[in-house]
Amino acid sequence: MLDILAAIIIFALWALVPILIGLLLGADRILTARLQGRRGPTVLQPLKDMAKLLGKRAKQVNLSQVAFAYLALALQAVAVLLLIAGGDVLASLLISGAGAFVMVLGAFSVRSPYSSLGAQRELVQILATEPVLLLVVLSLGYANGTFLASGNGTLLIASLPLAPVAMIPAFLMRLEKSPYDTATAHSELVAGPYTEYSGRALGIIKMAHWFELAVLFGILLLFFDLPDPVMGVILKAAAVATVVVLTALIDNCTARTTRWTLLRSALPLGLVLVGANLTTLYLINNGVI
Amino acid sequence: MAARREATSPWLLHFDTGSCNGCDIEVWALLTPRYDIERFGMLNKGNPKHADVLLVTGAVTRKSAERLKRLYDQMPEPKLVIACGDCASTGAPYVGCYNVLGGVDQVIPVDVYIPGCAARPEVLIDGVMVALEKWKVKKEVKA
Ligand code: SF4
Repeated sequence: MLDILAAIIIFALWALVPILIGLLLGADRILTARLQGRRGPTVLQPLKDMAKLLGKRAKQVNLSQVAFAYLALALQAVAVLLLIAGGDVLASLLISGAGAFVMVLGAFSVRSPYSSLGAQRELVQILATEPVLLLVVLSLGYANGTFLASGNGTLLIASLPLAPVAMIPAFLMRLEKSPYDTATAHSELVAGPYTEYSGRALGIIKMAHWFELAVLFGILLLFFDLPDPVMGVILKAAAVATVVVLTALIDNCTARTTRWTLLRSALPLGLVLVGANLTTLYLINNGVI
Repeated sequence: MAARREATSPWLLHFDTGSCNGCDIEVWALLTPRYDIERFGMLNKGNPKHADVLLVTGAVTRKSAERLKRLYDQMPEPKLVIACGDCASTGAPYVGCYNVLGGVDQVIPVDVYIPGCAARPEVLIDGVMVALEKWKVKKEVKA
């Protein structure tokens, strides 16, 4: 009986994920607007956009393009479900990574210069973030003794304080912030892999992106687990709010750079941060320090 | 207008078919903090495949006509077209020129005509809002 109840809660949470991510993006848009001296949309705007897109007719270039969109969504959704159900974090990250690759394939499946440019930039982005995220998850597994999300329960950030910091560039990119773009063709490049999608198919691929964001936030939140569930939820909400405010601030305070600069800076920085943290933890655990 | 802030989420595509740039500057003014069209959920998209509303400025020249048609065809249904300013609405004052076809409706169907030379940003926002009423009808017809 308890199992059925747990399953219902897990699926309900899973179904709520797109709504939560939509609200988060809405808050992000309001914050950005306020920083720019504008009023901005309502917090529900991303959800309205999504509803509108799903209600529109798609003009597909070819069938494989749309198939890749649905496959990306399926992979990302499974990755999120795995995290919520307390499954293997490493598997979740890898499935989500596969989803990101499928999205790139979708962009490459049409003969459009902006779409393929976007796909290549997406690949650079994956190259800049995935190794860091992998190391973050590996260090999480080391500190916890298990990769199971449910095997958590302690405040991991106390032993791995640098790992969430190393994830910030990944958040900047996944939240599609502008420091990593060239100013001259900004909107075309940001739209990159989405260029040739329209109507419902665009909605589906955006939804896949929302679930991908959920995986990223899910991994971050694992660092903020507390034995007391109420305090845990409060701490997690604070962590999410910090990330949203920080990324909006960085977005509005920095000049735009290219993704290659990002690759050269974020990848070594992330690896060094997590690596140093992991080494220290190892030395402490073995009584050297 | 604040009451209609809840409207929907029209994404705009702007195309200049041969304007004097007067109307274009007013369209771009919509993005500034003063008019901030994102309040109404509107976003400027540089891509016809993502757009719901096509904002056209200027009289249609013979050269731009084909491109206008192509952009219109690339937009997914349901879609709306707004002729911004006197030139886009009727072709005036360039009507009769050897290289000018006339208003936007000579090439593609237009949903809303916005008068003015140049069209004021407030009227442009109102034009999109009026067009959205038509959107609902179009959606019902399609359904
Ligand atoms: S209506 Fe006036 S301002 Fe607008 S394009 Fe024509 S001439 Fe220029």
